[in-house]
Formats: sequence, C-alpha cells, structure tokens
Amino acid sequence: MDVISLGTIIDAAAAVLQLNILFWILIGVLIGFVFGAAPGLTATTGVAIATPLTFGASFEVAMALLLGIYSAGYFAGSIPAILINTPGAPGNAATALDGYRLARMGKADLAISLAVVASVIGGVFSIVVLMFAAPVLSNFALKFTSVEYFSLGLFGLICVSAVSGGSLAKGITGAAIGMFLGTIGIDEVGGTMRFTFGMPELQGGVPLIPTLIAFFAVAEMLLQASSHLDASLLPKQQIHRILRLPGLMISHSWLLLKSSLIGTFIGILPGTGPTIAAWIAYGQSGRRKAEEAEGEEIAAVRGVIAAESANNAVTGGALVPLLTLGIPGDTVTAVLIGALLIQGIDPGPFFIIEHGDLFAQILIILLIAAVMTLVLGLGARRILPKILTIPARILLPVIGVLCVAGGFAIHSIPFEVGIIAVLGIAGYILARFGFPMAPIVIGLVLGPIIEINLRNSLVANDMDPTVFITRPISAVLLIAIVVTLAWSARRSLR
Amino acid sequence: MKADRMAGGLTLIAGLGLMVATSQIDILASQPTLSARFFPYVLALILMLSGLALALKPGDALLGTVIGKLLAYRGVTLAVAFLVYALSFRFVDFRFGTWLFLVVTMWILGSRKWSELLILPIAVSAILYLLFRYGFIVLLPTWT
Repeated sequence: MDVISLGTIIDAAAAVLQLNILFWILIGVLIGFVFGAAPGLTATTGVAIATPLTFGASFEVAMALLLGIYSAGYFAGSIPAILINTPGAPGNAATALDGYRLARMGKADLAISLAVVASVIGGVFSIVVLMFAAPVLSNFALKFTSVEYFSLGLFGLICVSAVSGGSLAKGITGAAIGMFLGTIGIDEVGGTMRFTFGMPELQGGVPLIPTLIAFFAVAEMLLQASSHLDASLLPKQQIHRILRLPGLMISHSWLLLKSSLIGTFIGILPGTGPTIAAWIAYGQSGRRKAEEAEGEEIAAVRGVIAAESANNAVTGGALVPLLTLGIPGDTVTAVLIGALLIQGIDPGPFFIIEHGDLFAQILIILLIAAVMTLVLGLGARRILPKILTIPARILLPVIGVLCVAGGFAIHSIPFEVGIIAVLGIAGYILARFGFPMAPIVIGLVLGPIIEINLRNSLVANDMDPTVFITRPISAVLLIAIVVTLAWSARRSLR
Repeated sequence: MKADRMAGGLTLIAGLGLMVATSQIDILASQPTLSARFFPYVLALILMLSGLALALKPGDALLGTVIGKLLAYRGVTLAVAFLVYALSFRFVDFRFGTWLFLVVTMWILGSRKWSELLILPIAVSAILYLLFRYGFIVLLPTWT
C-alpha cells in the first residue's frame, strides 16, 4: 500500500521521536494510569477531559496525550479489578474474576504483571492490524455510497445499544436521546431550525466535546460521589519474578493470539468496545478445562491473559472504522473524533490518502505508548496500587474543575460550560435509572451521519427505499442489524 | 413500584413531547428528499415504543431504591454545587470560584482536616489557573 510507504513512516518517526512528543506520550500514559485505575473513572473520561486541552496544540502533541491515555487507561482498569475486585472500567470486569482470585492466593503481583504484558501484546497486535487493514479498508470505503454509510451507521448504533449493558429498551432509548441531541440546530438539507427554542447558541448544534464531557465525566463524577467508593483495602502481595513472565507468555501464545484477534475484530465493529471483547475472549480462554487439568492458578492465569489482551486489542481495532469510515469503533474513538475535528481533520475514507503522514504518526505514537505502558506498568506495578488510595473527596472535586475549565477552553464560550452542567446532571439521573451512557454519545455522533445519508440515499435513488436491500453490503448489514436486535431482545426477555 | 415503570412512563411522555415539538418544525414546500421532520418523528416513535417496553417489562429495581440513591446527600449537593459553579463561571474570577468550589465540595465529600481544606484548594486553583493561562493560553474569567 503506497499511502504508508517506508518514507512516510520514516518522516512520521522523525516528527514523533522528539523529546516534547515523548514527554506528552508519557504524560498521557500517566494520566491513563490514574483514570484507568481509579474505580469508576475510565479512559473515556480521561480522554474526554483532556481533549479540550489540545485546542492550541499541534497534531502530534494532541495525539501523544490522548492516545497515551487511551492505551494506558484500558490496561490500568485491571489494577483495581485485581486488587479490590472492582473493575476500573466495564472492560476490566472479566479480569476481576480471575485477577482477584490470584490476588486472594497472594499472587496479585503476578496478576498485574500478566495484565500489563497481555495488554501490551494485545495492543501491539491491534496496531499491526490497523497498519495493514486501515489503508485497504480505506480504499474499499471509497466505493461506499450514502446507502452503505446509512446501514453501517445504523449497525454501529444497534450494536452499542444491544451490548452496552442494561436492557435493550434502555440502550435504544439512550441511542434515541443521543440522536435527538444530534438533530438540534440548523437542518443541513432544508436549512430550517430544529429544537433551538430561540437560543442562537444552539443553531450550530449541540457541541460534541462538552456533551461528551457531560455524559462521561460529570455524570460519572456524580455517580461516584453518591456511591461512597473508597478503595483502601489492598491484599498483601507476594513478589513475583518478572523473568518468569516470558515463559508464561510463550506457553500461552495461542491464547494470546486468539484473544488479541477477538479484541481487534470486536474493536473494528463500529460502536462496540472492550467490554464485549473481554467477555468473549474470557469465554474462549479454556480456563475451565485448564482448572480441571492444571489447577486453579493456571486457569486464573489464562483468564487474565485472555481478558486483558482482548481488552487492549480493541484500541487499534476501534481506530480502523474511525480512520477509514469516520465511524467510531468504541466510546474513546467517539471522543477522538472531537479531537481530530479540533485539529481541522475530518476522519473518513480520505484521511489516510490525504494524511498518510498523520496516520503513520498515530501508529508510531500508539507503539511508543504501548512500550511506555509496558515499562512503567512493570516497573511501577507495586506503586500503581497507590492510585487507589487517592481519596474521592479530593479526586472528584478536581475532576469537576477540570470538566468546567476544559469545556471552557475549547471555544471560550460560557454557554458550553452550561451545557456540560445541565447535560451532566441529566446523564447522572439517566445513569441512576440504569440507562447506559455509551449509546447516548454514539447516538450523538452517528445520528447526523445516519440521517444525512438516509436522505442523500433516497434523493440519489428517486426516493426508492428498496435500494437499502438491493445493494449487497447494505443488505448484509441490515440482516446483521435484525439478527443483533433479535438476539438482544431474546436475551432481554429472559 | 418498579423504577423502570416510572422511567418507561417518562420516556413515553418525552416521546410524545418530541412528537409535538417536531410538528412545529418549519418545512419547505418542495423538498427533494425526506423533510426535516421525518427523522425526529422516527426518534419520537422509538422513544415511545422503548418507553412502553420498559413500562411493560420492567427490571427488578424498585423506584424507592433508585430515588434514594439519586437523592443521596453527596450526589445531590455536589450536583447543585457543580451547577452553580458552572453557571456562574463567566461572572466569577476563576481563582476565587475554583477555590470556593473545591472547599465546598471537599467538605461535602467528607474532608474535615483544616490543613487539607486550606492548602489543597488554594494550590489546585493556582496551579490550574497558571496551567490554563500560560500552558494552554486560555483566558479564564478574572476580575482584574
């Protein structure tokens, strides 16, 4: 693929391998550790808060910070999962099962070491897939018309509604709320006002980044405040020799490969994320068989390796639809759309063709972030649990200030700060009633894409709706939507 | 009463409200494609159907439990403090407003050490002000 030739990669490496960029990757990784490890806070929250701060930064600096948080945050959620049986993020829930089991055996150190290495292997595997798959898919996506974009957007939305936790009805309600927020403002086709209620600030639509901050950071902050989460009881650990790790990894290489493949594939599916990837990989880990044959410890080792490698393999996978189709693969990449727009970049099929250098920079930054996660994760694995002891009474107010100041920093518009507060409290109420946040945010991102492509498809095809089932890719996606809905409805009814 | 029945009922009402609001959108007489009302109408219908589904097949959570958690002292007071801080953001000096917000919310969340309440808010508001003002070149609201 000539769009990322060796020359492009060398140029990108020269742009990225500079002290200030490495510094921002390091900062991102450290922030990712904090947000990932603090129970309740997630990598998505960290990226949402940090995105507005990249407003005045160069592309390299912005991506260094955000991808550092993304990469490290997905791993760091395994720390509280292992030590206090409380996943740092939903994607680490599967890790908690066997990670905490190892901790109770006094082998938390081994569990954290395994989680770091498996996460990094999964992450690097997905970066390699991103490197080779994205340019090919990007070229393929050029053949997509608005018909395929409509079906793909709808598929992503249905996937996230179906798998984001809670009932299907709540997932779909969340997606509808997000899509409704996406309709506010001037209608792109007819130019008429929709739901602006006389507020000129809403003519341009509900701003994306403040909305993301509201639903991911503010709602989470309020949930944590009312949940009394304070993690201070840590199990006593046996010290584990790092030299034992390569042997363990080699003996589980097939499991690592399989789980990384699952994670990458789930990541590529628009609108899904690490939670489902980790559970599928955990289910496929063969830990039950191993428990019977080799004992509880090896079974737990398999569980941690499978869940963590799949969890982190989502990172590169989720970037594939974002950078090739402009459709987010998970919640973090939904936030990254905002970061790319701040840089004046519209992600989509032309991104790699027009900005091959920036694509290569993303790959290199992700690789460096993975290496830093490995080194810092292993080196500081006995210090990292201290993050759990930061009291909520200090952490949450500081996050509140960062949400407001960060939201203001984007455009210096006080109205957007008001949006953060109002939507954040609305998000808190919805979350308390069990509505998942991910479909709301993905609905906000995908809603306008779905609507505009639906309307364009009908215009281009003389208002003939059968075009959605006569074009093969669209037909396959629509069948997948029906199957997903049927499966999820059956699961909900049980 | 099950919490989902209340959530479903409110979702149903929201769907009806959206339906009414959508009917007020101006549309062009001759438009070559679906009107600006079409998509919001579909969303209103989805909201009504999913609200109905929630009300008819609710989960196990009881309304009293959910409302109790929703109105938990710390959550509500932090939400009110956050709302006041955000809405008054443009009028109040960032350094003072942030200091006050931190003192109040740290108190709400259980901080009782005077040293903690005295030093941390001043340090955090000063560091963040300097970081945003000189690091990110963002002009935060000030009185001077």
